[in-house]
Amino acid sequence: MKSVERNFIIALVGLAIVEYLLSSFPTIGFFVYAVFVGLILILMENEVKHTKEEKLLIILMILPICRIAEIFLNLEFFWSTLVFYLFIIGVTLYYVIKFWLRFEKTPFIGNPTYFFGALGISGIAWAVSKYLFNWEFSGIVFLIPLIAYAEEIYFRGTFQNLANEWFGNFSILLTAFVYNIFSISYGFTYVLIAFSAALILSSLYHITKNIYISYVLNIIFHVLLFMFYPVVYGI
Amino acid sequence: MITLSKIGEVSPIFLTVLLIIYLMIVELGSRRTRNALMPLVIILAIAFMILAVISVYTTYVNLK
Repeated sequence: MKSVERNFIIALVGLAIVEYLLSSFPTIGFFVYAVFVGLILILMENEVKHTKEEKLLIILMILPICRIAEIFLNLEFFWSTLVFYLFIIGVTLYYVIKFWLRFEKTPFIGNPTYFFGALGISGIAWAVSKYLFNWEFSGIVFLIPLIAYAEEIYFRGTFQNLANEWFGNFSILLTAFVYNIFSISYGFTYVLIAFSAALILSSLYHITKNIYISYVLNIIFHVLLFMFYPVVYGI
Repeated sequence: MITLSKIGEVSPIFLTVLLIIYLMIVELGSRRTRNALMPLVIILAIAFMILAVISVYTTYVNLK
């Protein structure tokens, strides 16, 4: 096993342990998390040119960076989720531009116009459900397309595409595993549900290389989640 | 409007300390360190600003 592969496995296992620590002992977990993320970012930085392994490890750190910031934003569910996913979109775009990632026939963010269109429609639906029907959970109508967009460009568009260059078909399982690491705090049942959903989404993206299909499926997954597993939304 | 419902499990003081430490590392470290930590520092700084503004606003609303 090459040293860089060993580092990647250590980072993945370390991330799972730190995430568990964070959900069990927030203060200690937070300090370990902050040091862990900072160390990996510094160790993987390369002034000349990043190898694809270094890029993947840095991309893996995007979600922890946003997690650290999210810990402090103890706002209402709607606002903290909105800020968290905007952070993910922002940092993902930053690294994609920094590394100048381009994948043949595999669009990492698709056409942003479509996603903004979806956001616009969901915004109108949110306004209607809030002001006409006084629906209590109207904020989720707006959040779901945003969550789906952030997850797709991060997990499928960037992480899976990079992992695919290194690990091949194994990237499907890897993406699902990484998706699950960040679901640990929601409990074991949710981890199983999310793992199955992530496997389906990643496999479909791997086969079709079409981010729109996984985006629509991701929205459906979150709608079903909201209907049958509301604890994820803090309801 | 957004208001802080309660202080989270991890106190915002930790965020301040963390941000200062990372800013010191960025300032004193090499160019490589600066490049590596910049996104983390920017995100933490934005979180800090959001928290500060909302905290001030919450105090103002409660006083009014």
